[in-house]
Amino acid sequence: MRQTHREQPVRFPSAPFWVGLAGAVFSGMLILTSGPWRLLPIEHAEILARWTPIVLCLVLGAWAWAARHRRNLLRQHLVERLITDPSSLDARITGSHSKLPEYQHDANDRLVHLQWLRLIVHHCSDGLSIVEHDLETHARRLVFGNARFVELSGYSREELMTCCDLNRLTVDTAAPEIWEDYRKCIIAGRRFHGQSSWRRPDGQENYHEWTAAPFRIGERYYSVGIDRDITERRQAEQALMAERDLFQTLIDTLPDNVFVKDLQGRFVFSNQACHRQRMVSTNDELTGKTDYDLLPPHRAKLQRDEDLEIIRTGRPILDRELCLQDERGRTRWTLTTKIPWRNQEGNIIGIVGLDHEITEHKLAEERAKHHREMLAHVTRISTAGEMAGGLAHELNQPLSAILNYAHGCIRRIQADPRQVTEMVTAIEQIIAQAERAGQIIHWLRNFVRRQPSRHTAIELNQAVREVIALVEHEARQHNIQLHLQLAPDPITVFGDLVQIEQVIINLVRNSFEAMTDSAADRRTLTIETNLNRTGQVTITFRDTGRGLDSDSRERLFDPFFTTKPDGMGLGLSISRSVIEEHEGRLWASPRPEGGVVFVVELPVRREKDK
Amino acid sequence: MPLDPTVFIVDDDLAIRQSLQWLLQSAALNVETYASAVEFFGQYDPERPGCLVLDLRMPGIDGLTLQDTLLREDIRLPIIFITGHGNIPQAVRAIQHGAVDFMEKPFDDQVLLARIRQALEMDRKHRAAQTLATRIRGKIDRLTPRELQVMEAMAAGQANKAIADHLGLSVRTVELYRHHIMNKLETHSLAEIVQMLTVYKQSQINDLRLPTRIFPGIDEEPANG
Repeated sequence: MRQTHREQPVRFPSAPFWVGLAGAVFSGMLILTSGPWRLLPIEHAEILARWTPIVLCLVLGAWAWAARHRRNLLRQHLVERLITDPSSLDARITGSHSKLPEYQHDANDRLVHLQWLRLIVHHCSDGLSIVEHDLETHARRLVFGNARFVELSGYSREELMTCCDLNRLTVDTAAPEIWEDYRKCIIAGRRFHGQSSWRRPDGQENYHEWTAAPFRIGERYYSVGIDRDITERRQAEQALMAERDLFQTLIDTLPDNVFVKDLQGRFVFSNQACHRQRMVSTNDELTGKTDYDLLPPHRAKLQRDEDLEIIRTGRPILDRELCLQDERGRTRWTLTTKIPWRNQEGNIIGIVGLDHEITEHKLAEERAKHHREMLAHVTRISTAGEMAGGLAHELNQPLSAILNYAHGCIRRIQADPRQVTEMVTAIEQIIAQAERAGQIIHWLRNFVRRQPSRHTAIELNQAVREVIALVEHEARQHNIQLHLQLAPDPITVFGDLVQIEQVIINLVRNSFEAMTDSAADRRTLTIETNLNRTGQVTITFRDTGRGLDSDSRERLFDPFFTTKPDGMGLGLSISRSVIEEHEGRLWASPRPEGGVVFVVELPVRREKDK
Repeated sequence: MPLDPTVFIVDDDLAIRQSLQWLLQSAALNVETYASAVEFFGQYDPERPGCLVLDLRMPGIDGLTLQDTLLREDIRLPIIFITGHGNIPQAVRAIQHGAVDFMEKPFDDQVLLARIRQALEMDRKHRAAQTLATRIRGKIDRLTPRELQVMEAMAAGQANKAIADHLGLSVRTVELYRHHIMNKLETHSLAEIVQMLTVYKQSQINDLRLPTRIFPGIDEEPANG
């Protein structure tokens, strides 16, 4: 430590002294100009009267100059003291802490300010330091550092104070050319700031954000430095950056289109999948554009209207299926999800969207549906083959009736050719019976024809009756009683009539087969249709057959599971897939009194479904 | 006295019932139709002559069961079975149980009408035979057991002397019995007595055989021939 500044502070006359002096001069002059004034010769009095204001002005001017000078000197002195020996002030400040309650004295007043300054410096959460710069060597010598500064450096105060170049203790990562800038700032007295990292002796790296205000005393250059430790902030920032990078990578590698739009419909953010789809290469190319810049006007309008609706209501769109043609004219399906983007106050500030491409899935679904339809068709043909006996009988009945009427007519005409009127009844009957036969043929042809699934309104009671008409003969052959308990009002569902009838036939014939072992007098199949309050339609098939064992119960609806020696095992499996395609359910459960109950549940068709 | 014969049609199919009725009516036959075996059985009066055109397969009681029931009740209405498509075991069973015929729909009207006429004739003859047998039984039942013994011996062609020896009677007493028999049976010819006894015995045998008949068509034999 250099001792050059260690001398007593210069004492100056204080303000009361000057006031006293001025008062003495003034009163002296008053005395001179009043009572004893007259004792003086008139020339002297005139001289006094002429000089007194001048002298007064001079005295006051000198006082003002001295006060300013004294203030400057005091400041410089204190700063120097502070720099060179902070501890020398301690006793004064701490010692006088309790003894100086009032601003009684100018010097004391300043000391109080100093004390405050000292406290602020001491308790400041930023590192405060005063460094002397050697502009030749760039060496930095610490002349003052508060506790926080010492703590930040990682060294002890002694190590710092005895070190003649701080650069040796700390490893500053700033580039050398920056130092040149700093040097210029120091010489010019300009404030400068920056960020640097310090390697502490414990190996930890500290990041500082600092501001330096240079000043000079004589030919020495100093700077007051404020160091703020931003290690944690920096780490948090880095973590945030890493997280952002991670999310960006994640979102970019997502196969789905992800995008964010603001209230005006401009893209704020989009991922790479989105860029690929919109034929741009970077986020920036898309940012700021709207759908109107990217899509044909009608589609852009649809998108915009949809976005506005979300912004208005705050209701998200979840997994909405959308089918559209891409640029190459291929049909594509997407699942779109759009949710409102809200700020921290909960106000909607845009739209976050996600388009999930499901074309492949959809095509696979279509293929599977096609296969199911083909399989259903094959089993229908097989069912029709098995039903041939019953169908033949059903056809035979009207044909026999027709033949009987025709023969009867011939006989009557032969007996009496004039009897024509009563023939009309018979011929009407012949027509009716021919139509009956025609309907059976028509049904059979529809049933075995392969056709794409065609959904129409179906009256279920009617469908059940139609099927029963065709299986009645079979029931009779097996001595099975058929009970119909149809709902009194028509029940309408929406679906493919042929497929629904196929399910009814499958279930009825399944019940017939289950009852072949039952006693002949207790073979009853009850078919019930119901519309329950929950808006579901049920068709219930109760048989009195052999029932279900646990194995059958589990595998009943598995394809190729059958208990029949010549069965394919597809009837129930196909029935279930048909019903599920109609958004319904099909299940079986054993009846306590023996036999099985099969239940088909379908959603009822409401007016709005039209 | 006897009612006009009626063709009773039992079939669950309305169209078949009505068309058959139309056909048979055009052949000037009385026709009544029933939708089920139960309906027919509940309304049929066994005194009414005719024949039954019966559907083999019906819900509830089927044709074969009705046939059995009628046999058990000794109602010998000739039955013509009609069926959509029958099988041989059913046909065999129906014929064994005395059915006139077993016809598959659709049928030739001439064959059907021929069968119906045949059945009506069978019924008529059967009823006539039954009436005769009832009358003969009524007469024979008036005979005392001794007179019956004498009558059987007479029918066997024994002379009065042989009868007297056989029964331990005097020839004179036998002659007296013979006179009484002739009076009670309202006849003068031995041939008639023999015939009466044959019919009487036959009806007794039939009574014993009922309700099941193993050999069908015994009493319809003349009609079949």
